[in-house]
Amino acid sequence: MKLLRNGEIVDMPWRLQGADEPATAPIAVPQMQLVQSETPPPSNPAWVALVEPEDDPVELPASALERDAILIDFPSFTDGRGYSHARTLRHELGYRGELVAVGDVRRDQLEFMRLVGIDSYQCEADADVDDLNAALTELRPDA
Amino acid sequence: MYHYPVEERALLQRRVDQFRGQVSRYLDGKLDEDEFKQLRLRNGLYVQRHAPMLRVAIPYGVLSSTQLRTLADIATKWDRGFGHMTTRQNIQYNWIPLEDTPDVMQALADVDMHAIQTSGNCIRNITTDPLAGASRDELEDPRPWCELIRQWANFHPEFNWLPRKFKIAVSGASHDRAAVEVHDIGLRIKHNAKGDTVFDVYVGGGLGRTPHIGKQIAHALPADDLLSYLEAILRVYNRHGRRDNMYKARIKILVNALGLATFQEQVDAAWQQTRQQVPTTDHATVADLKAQFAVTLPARDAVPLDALQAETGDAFTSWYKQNTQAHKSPGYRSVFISLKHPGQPAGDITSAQMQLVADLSDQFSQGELRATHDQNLVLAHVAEADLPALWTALGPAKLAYANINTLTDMIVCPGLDFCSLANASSIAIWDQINATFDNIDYLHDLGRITVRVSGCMNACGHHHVADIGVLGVEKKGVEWYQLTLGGRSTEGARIGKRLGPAIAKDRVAATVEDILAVFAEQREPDESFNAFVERNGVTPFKERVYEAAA
Repeated sequence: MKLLRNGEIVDMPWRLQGADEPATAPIAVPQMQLVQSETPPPSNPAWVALVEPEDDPVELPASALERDAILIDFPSFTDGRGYSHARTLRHELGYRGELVAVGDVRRDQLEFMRLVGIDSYQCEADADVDDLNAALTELRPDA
Repeated sequence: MYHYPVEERALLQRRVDQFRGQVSRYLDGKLDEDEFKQLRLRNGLYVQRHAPMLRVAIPYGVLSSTQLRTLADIATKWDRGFGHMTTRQNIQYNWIPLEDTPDVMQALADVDMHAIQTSGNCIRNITTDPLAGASRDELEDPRPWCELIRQWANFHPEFNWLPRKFKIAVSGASHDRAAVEVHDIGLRIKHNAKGDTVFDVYVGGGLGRTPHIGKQIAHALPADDLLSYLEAILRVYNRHGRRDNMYKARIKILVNALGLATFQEQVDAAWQQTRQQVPTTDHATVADLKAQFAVTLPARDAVPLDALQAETGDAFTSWYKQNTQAHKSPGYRSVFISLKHPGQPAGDITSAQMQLVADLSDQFSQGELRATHDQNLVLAHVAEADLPALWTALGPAKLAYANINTLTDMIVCPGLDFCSLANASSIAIWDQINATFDNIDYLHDLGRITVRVSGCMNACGHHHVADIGVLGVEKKGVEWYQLTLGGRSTEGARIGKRLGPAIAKDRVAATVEDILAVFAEQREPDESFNAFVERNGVTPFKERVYEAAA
């Protein structure tokens, strides 16, 4: 699984559920699990929170907001809830770390994701990196 | 007249380039069908029975003569010489080949036009009063506010993938001609005691399968907070609107499921956030927009009808009474151009008619015109002294039919003949009613009666809010029509009441005749059809209609 990050395609640095990243990669823990378990996951191996559409990011445990990244899940490209979650994380919760779009993330949606505060985007291994970077600023290059 | 600033033009050009790329990737097989569908929808492109249908935005219904000429040229060059006006004050074409659509977008962008968000689950065209800036009962011109909302809504990054489509209307007059109470969000401009602009906000209105009248969620919202408040409503809807069932996904369902009070609490909580994030209304921008939308009309002498009549005759008088309205400036009137001539499908306009109307708007109405939500056109600022010349020019083009606000000024959806969703023909009902009610004097005697026809329960013909609503349904492969009575889309909006069992296709016009006979026999002097139904319900009609059928 790959990620468009800082203009380059890199390996997905987190282990998503059921994915094939190395066991040493930090795990992505769904918000639901973080909220339901009494104690947050131990920091070894490292972990990040995965916010799903049904979640309210305001309910994330404080420990999740201290991590370097938060993943936002887009299970289907037509489900727009993740955009509101990104805005909430940036504006209401003041999160300054890396926001990452994972799931059904498509080229023509990258720009709107960028505009709501998302920094990195899941992508295909064979994606054209120049084309993806161009997609980020097709409509509002100055915003 | 308002023209887009240079940044908006640059944005439109980038959108054309983006769309051209999307079409080319689709034709090259690099974009799958599902994804391309969602992308093309956000540019007004549907696939219909015959070819793609392209819906072009006419923001708040306002067009320049130049823009109308471009719409005419598009119809000639890429379509079959006509366009169809829609109930969101837009225009749609039915025959444009997909591979040509990028060139059409370019032709539109060259005159500051586009098809942005005319379909798809996003914020649609902002609609308003077709008499904006001209009517006597106007408190404030709504168009500057519509434009402010348009700029906010177009390509809003957070709200482009909503649970379902989202429609906003704005009214600035004491009489609501924008049907704000049957919109996802309706705004009514008011002035507070200090004379500042404020908004009454309605939410959760809508037609479709489960019609609802909007509920007032905010009273006298300060203009400063307009966009942050809209953003809060949209955020609550985006997060909590249902996504599991498209028929329950509109905001009206959410508002009703939560109850207004709970929904309001959630919006207020979201508003605490959006207020920090969305800038307050920039009064310099609004003042600039107001200045650009305002027209300065040259002083013209008032000419009473008697004087005009002397040079014309009875047909002119009936057109004057039915198709023109008082203007706020003495010496002027607003002229409705009916696109409901019996010989032509309701709401259709040919290229030649568009060219003529463009020329006449240059000659008589400041080079500007309006599309109405009931599928007609308006020349808003015509000097009274020019009315005979305008009428004379419109007549041969079948554009002076004096049936505005009468029974045959119907809203008619494309129906089974064009639309892939429809269950029954709408155009057949249009033809049938026109054939039955061909005496214009009788139509004038009946007074204001709205008839609206939808070919399926999606209700694009807005039949729920008509005096007489006609809904096409299909039973075992046969077209039937359900009638509703007493609906209304203006202030105090109401959903029509069902008359009874559906009517056979060939009996629809005859049934309307029965209904009107009951009304004519039992009405109080000067009582409107709507008031009559409010007073009596549907019972008197039921007796006549189903007795006749038995």
